[in-house]
This record gives sequence, C-alpha cells and structure tokens, in this order.
Amino acid sequence: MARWVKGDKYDKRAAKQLRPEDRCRADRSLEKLSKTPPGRSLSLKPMEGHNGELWEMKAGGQNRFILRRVRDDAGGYFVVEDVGPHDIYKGYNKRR
Amino acid sequence: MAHALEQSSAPVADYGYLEALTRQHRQVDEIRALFKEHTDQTAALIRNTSTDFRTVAQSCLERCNAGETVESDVLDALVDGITTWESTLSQDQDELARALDIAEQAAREENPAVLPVLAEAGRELAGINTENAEICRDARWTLMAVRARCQPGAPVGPIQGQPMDLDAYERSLG
Repeated sequence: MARWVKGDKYDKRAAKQLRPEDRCRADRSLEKLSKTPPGRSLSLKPMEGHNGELWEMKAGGQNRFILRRVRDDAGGYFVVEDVGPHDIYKGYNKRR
Repeated sequence: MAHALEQSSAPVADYGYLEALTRQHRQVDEIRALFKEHTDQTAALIRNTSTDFRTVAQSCLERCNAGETVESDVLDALVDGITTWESTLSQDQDELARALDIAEQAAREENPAVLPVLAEAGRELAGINTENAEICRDARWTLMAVRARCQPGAPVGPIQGQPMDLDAYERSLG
C-alpha cells in the first residue's frame, strides 16, 4: 500500500478524458493502492524522463494515472494529477 | 503550435476509392499503383498532423526541463486538440474497415484478382493509422506529464492509504 491524495485539477481532467464508468474503475484502482502492496496488477513505476518526480499506474482498462511524488514528515506519497487512455486500439487488425 | 491545433479537426480520410477502383475492371498492377497513390496521400494527411503534435509536445517538454513556465491554457488546449485528433484516427480506423468490407465484396463479385491487392492496401493503411495513433498517444502523454510538473495540483482532502517506503519499492523495480 502507499499514500495518495487527489490534486485539485484531477477531477476536471478525469471528467474530460474518461467515461463515468471508467472514472469509477479508476477510483477503485486508487483504493487498491491504499490497501494492498502495488504489485503487478497496478504496474506502479516511475515515468521515464522525469527524474522520479512523476510516476504512472494502471487505472483500469486502457487508462493510466500520472502521479506526482512528494514528501512530508511521514515519508513519500503521491498527488494524483491526471488520468487518460494509454493503450492503443487496433480495430482493423483485430477484425482481420 | 496553432498550426497543429487548427488541423486537429481535419476530416477522416475518404476510402471510397477502394471500391470505386475495384469496380473499374483494370489490371491488377494498375489498381495496385492507384491504391499506392491514394495510400501515400492519406499517409501524408495523417502524418502531417501527428508530427506537428509530436514536435509541439517535445518543445513543451524541453521548455519544462529548462525551468521555463508553459502556460496551463496552452497545455490544456493542446491535450484537447490531440484527444480530438485521436478520436478522428479511431473513426478513420472504423471507416477503413467498413470501406474494405465493401471493396472486398465488390472484388468477389466483379474482380477477384484484386482481393490480395486490397488486403495489402488494408494492412498498409491500418499500419499508418496505428503508427500515428501511437505518435499522438505519446505526444499527449508527454504534454500531460509537462502539465503535472509545470502546473502541479494542490492536494484536496485527507491523504489516503498507509505509509510505504517508496525508495525501497523503486529499488525493487530494478
């Protein structure tokens, strides 16, 4: 498990990028981060090229979160900054 | 930057030529050459926009890495513009599949020798679409990261979860 808090711009960005049902799935992924060690199912890891400041994590379906790592007296935690689709559809190739 | 945004609502490519050329009873080599001509035009149309977005995203990242401010309204507009273009590419993929189904039916009825040429054109066009969807996804993701770094959100509400040694976790990732 890890500590996290939503950033004040998160909800607006999530509403633009995700359908309501996907936002619920994203919230469930965050609950999972609170309660269980971030194993393979969440794929929590630093984003390449951002010096450990930004991390990414699965948000259900084809979506992923962008998390910003910060620190307080109790140690490191994440501010949830953004979420959006990451995996690529391959509609034509799937149908052939 | 404005150039990329202006093109973000470009129309989906028209694939009606696949059926129209199939029905013209031309030689296979001639049809292949005509398909190639159209494919090249479609590729140019799609690549110009996708490459613009990639260039702009890279420029924003470089400014962010240099400690410069990248305005939030610019970043928001670019993310929205790419998202619109990604939807256009998704519709384009569906339109291509539909046009190929129609053209294949036409080929079976009137010119079966064209079927392999149609399959070849379909693979190439789908590949162009997928390649550009990836370019746009990466550009959008870069801009979202720049936005998170340059315009970080303030925490809202209590912190959830339990403390965890993130340094140790990061080391465990190798």
